[in-house]
Amino acid sequence: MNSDSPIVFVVDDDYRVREALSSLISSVGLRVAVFNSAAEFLESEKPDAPACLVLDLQLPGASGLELQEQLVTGDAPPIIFISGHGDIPSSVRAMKAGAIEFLAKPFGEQELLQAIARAIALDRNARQKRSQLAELQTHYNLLTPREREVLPFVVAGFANKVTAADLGTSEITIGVHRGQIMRKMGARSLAELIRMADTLGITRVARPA
Amino acid sequence: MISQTQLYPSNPGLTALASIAAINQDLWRMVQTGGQGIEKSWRSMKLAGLASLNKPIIANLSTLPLLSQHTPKVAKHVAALQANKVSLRTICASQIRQFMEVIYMTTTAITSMREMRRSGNDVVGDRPWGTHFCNFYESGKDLLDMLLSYFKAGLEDNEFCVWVVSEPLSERVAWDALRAAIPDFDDYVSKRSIEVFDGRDWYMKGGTFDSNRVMSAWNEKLDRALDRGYLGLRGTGNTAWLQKKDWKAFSEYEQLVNDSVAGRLAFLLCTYSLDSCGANELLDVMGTHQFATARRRGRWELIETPELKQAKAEIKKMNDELEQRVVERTRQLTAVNEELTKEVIERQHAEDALRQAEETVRTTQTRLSRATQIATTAEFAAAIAHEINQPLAAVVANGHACLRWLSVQPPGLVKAQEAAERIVRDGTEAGEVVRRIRALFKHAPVDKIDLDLNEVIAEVLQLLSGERTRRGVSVEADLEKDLGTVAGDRVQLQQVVFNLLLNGIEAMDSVLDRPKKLFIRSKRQSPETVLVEIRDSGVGLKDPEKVFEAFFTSKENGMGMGLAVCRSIIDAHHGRLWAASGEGAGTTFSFTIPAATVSGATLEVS
Repeated sequence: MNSDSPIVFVVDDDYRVREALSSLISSVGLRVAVFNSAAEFLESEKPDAPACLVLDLQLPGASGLELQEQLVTGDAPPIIFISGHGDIPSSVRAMKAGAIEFLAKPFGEQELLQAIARAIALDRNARQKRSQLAELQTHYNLLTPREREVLPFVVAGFANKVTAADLGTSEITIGVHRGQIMRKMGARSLAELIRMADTLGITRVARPA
Repeated sequence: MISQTQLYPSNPGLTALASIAAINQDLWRMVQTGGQGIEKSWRSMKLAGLASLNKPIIANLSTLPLLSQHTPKVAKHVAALQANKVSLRTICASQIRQFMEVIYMTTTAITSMREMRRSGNDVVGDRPWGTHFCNFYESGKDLLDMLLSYFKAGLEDNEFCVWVVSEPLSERVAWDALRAAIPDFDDYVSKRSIEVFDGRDWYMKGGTFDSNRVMSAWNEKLDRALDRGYLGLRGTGNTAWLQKKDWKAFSEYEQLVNDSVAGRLAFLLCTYSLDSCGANELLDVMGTHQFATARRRGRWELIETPELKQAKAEIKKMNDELEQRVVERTRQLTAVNEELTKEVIERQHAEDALRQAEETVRTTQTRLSRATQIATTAEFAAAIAHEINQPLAAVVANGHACLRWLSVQPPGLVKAQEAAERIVRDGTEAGEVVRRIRALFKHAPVDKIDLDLNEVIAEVLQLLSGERTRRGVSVEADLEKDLGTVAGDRVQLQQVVFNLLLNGIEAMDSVLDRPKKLFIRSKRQSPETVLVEIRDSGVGLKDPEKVFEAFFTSKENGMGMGLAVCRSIIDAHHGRLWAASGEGAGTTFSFTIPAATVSGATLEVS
């Protein structure tokens, strides 16, 4: 089990449930970390690995739903709610806020383990996307301010001549910028550059009439 | 009554007032004694009517205020009945019936007083009861003619007749003349409808004239006549026997008769010899009779004083008015009767409606309490489910884990064993929960042993040590050394102490500005009672009593069962559990339990 292997966080105030889930989850080869409260979970160091959060709805202090609200802004792992007596309003609220599963105690292992597998896959995917984006961002950060100015024209399909006229410089200069952009971004073709720009959320300049 | 009216012989107004008061009293009594007294009262009313003086109508008038008094009385009755919800139908009906009877009797009395009697003389014509007039005769024949037709009319009209004869007639002449003049006269004689007396015997019994005695004699005749079923008394008297020295006394007697005859069922004729009357006597006679008749020059004449005419007119007017008022009153009473009947019916309806409403309320209450029971049961079920769910969830998860550890290669035997041990532990705990709850619901006699509450508290504090540390709560315990023992169920009392302590700890979750302190104290409050107090420094309670109601909770996810269960446990131990809270001063939960061992001596002292 290396540091990349998936990890399941369990937050429940009942030690019996914590112990049982810990044993069950680790029996299928997953790493488990258990917490008594939302605060304990938030304060803890989390390994850089695909993860999911099994969260009790009824927690002392900040409730499961409150913790969910706090987590939803960051790069939080997907949440599976478990509840001793899940009422409909709570479950609806939880699902709307992005929980991927809502399980009523006592639940079968298949329900839980499948939900965990799905959550980890989702998180792995999300993590991958996040790391791709982070890599692109690193490349983008290498661009000079002028090159960042030119990029939207390039990905919009403007000829260097048109771009030069628009930015008040020479066609040759734009050509140099263009070459630098392609190199720094590591794009092998214009099509690839356009995809990168899209991923980064760069708006293309509107084509002149 | 008669004596009352005679108190004021010279003042008809006062006499009438006395008479009114008397009748009022009588009628009042009659109304109060109810239906069975009617006959008797009717009789006494007749007598009262006869006793009243000049204005017969006034006596009857007295019933009007009496009747009007009854309207508020009826109202009062109705109010009382409304308050008491007694069936008013019968009582109202009997009241109404009584008023109707009074009205009827009044009307009958008036009618009978106003009933005209034939005088037998064309000039005199028909006159009402209470007529007292005089006849001046020139000859014995005139006198006989007058009196024979007078008595003929009386006998024919079922009146009791009394003839007091004087010269020039005699008893024998009178009998003969009557027998000759009146067909079937012997029938009247055999029925004793007529009596003839000698003037001297009648007036001068014992040799002197006593007006009271003579009045009594007339009254006696009248009473007897009425008793024997005659309509009234018709009488005549003659004064030929009268001597000058007795004139004044006799004149006063005539005045008395004249004053008292009104309103009585009497019809009186006094005859005077015109020859033997001087001017003075004539004036006296005219003043003491309502009117006079005389046959002069072969023609009957009627002499009436203007004053008398006026009085008669007034009486007639009053009569008419009274009749009108009686009619009016009767109408009003009928209306009141109808209204009352209506009201009685409405009340009946209202009562029916009320009964129905009460029935509905009862049904609703029954349903409501059943609904509450069901709701309570449902909530209890939910609470039980929660209590059992946690260990059960753990058991299930442990079971799966155990199986998985056994199925991997190589099997994780240690892990599987651990999971199995947890299954046993949590399963046992769930079973214990079930046992406790069942005991609670069944009100099964608690498993009582002598135990030391201080030990119970210490155990629970031990159990909660982790929780206390995690939440940063410090506990100060002040446990009395010689607390003594109580008879109780260890598990249940542990549950109570546990709940109260956990509540206190949780109540201080939001406390950030001061140390979270929890106090627990045990004390022998009295020889019979042990007291335990648990005080937190939390925010306090708005309504300390409400927390003991099932489903009351201040926690977002609480079921509101904990304290309700605590209270039922303490109740089952014959103790008391309560909460007190001061603004911002935290909450103190206290419970008392009877001490287990109380020495006989202590009991006696207490």
